[in-house]
Amino acid sequence: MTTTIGLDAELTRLARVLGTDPAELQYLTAVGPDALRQARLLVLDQHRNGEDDLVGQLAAITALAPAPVAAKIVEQAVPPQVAAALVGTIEDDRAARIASRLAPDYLAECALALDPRRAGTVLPGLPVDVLLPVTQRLFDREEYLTLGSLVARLPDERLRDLTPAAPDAGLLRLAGALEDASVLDRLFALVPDRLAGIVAAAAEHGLWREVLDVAGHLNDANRGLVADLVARLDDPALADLCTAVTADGLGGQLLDLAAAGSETARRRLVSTPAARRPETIDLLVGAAVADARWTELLRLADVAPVGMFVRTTHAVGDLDEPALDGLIAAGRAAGLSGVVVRIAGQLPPDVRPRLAGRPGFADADGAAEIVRTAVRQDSWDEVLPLVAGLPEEAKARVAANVGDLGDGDLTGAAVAAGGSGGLEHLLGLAADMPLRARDAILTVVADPGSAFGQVTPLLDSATSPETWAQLGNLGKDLPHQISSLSARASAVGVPAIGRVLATLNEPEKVASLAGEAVQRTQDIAGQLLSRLRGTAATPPPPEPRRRPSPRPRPPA
Amino acid sequence: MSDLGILEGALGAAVPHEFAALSDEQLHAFAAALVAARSRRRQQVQAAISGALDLLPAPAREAARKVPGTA
Repeated sequence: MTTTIGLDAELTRLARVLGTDPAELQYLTAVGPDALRQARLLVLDQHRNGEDDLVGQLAAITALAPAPVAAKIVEQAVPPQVAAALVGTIEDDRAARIASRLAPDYLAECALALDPRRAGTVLPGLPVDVLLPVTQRLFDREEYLTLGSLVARLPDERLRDLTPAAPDAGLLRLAGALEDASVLDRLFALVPDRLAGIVAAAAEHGLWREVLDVAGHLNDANRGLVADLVARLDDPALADLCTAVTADGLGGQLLDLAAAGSETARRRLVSTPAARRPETIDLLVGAAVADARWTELLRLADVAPVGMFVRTTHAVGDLDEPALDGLIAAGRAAGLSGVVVRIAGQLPPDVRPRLAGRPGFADADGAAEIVRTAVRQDSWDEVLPLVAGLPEEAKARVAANVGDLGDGDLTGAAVAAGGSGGLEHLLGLAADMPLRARDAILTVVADPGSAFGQVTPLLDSATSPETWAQLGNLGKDLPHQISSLSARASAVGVPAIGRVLATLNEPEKVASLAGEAVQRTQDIAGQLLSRLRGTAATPPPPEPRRRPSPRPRPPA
Repeated sequence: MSDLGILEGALGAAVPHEFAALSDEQLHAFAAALVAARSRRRQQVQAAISGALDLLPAPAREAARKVPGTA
């Protein structure tokens, strides 16, 4: 494995082959575990080539005695590390017959010196009653490196026979010491009934580094299983996990593990008190940013409590453009675009365009996702201000998607917009919507009670001329809506506006009203009228934003 | 011969390129460890041969004397 554990393991394996102490070889850590492994195999080859003649003589001598006698000779005269060299030189069947007569302790010593590449031919031939006590001794002696080198040479059925010899914590340590990490998923599948015990043992013995290391080499499904089991631990155990992660800087590994879990597990893992600590959150978010683990970050942000979500938002606000594009693409690929939309909605207004303005954010798929997110999470109050800051062409795409919503969703959008001060944003979008959608929105804006019974009015005497003008423009091809709006204006105490709106159904009266309004430049009805007619007769208040030219209207 | 070459000579093969990151002193130390290990291994096998010969039953021991290198 190419981790710190893997580096230590390879150093120890090399030291064992050289007959020295790992501490004597510490200077080799700089070359990394892969190079150490290659060097060890080269040393084993050199030993084999350099002593071929002598080992051949030894094999020939033992061949002169029957297997039971040869076993006694080997045990008394041949050191285990030399006996290990005989494997591959003696015929496998005879080697198995001799090995079956050797003491488990002797065989365990042989195992320590065995070249794993040569073990594959003889190990499967040894009966379980020979292998089991040897395995037991290797676990008792915590010789996980040796076990980790040899398990890949055993077929599944033999491994299954031997796992009872391993304690739960031992299995975890063995998994962390596997020479070939690709074996992990195979081993994992052999012990489904042991997994909960293994995770519990990790909690009991504080083996979090091993858990994270092993989980990092499992396939996604198995990593998810581990995450689900970890999430079932109690708060103190998860606090230990977070403490270990913080102390050892294992944020990336915890991020990978937690993100692999089910929604329930993820929610639990990011909500436990220890995970809410700022240092834990910063470690997770920092690891995601450092290694561009966007999918993992989004999977956690999707279920994160406010604290983590806010910190994620801050981190995203600091990303450069390629990273923002990576985040958007990862969200799209993982079906988590809605989370990206939520993050964008939470960004400060001056920072938001950095994310929302990226080309992929509101392209055809992105625009549809923005609307889906608003509907699914009833988050129009977040989404509408976000959309208002989009480039015009992106805004038009969002408007088209909103316009395709059913009347119920449109009604919900209008009520949410009115209740959160975002009505102007929605009306701005509505200008690009088909007549049916505009009709539905105007219905609820003019009379929210028509859809929801007694609710807070969306229009009142404080409604701005800009908003009345937007409403008037939207209702130009909908005479019944103009009538409703006119009535609504009168009802909320601005009858002058009601009169102006009413003229939209009687165009011949507009000219006379215009003259009246121009003389009353402070009258909001005058402002409304000049806006509706597009004249500059009265000084308009500052525009909050520019709107695109309205689409050609369909025939009435 | 370069210091990396000395290590390759001791190992009898090209070493992974990552070993180039080691200092000359470290390369020499590792080469020395390899040579010492190889020498130790041969001594161990030779001792094992002697011990095995001694333990063989007499008739087999005579036959063993005919194995090349054991006379």
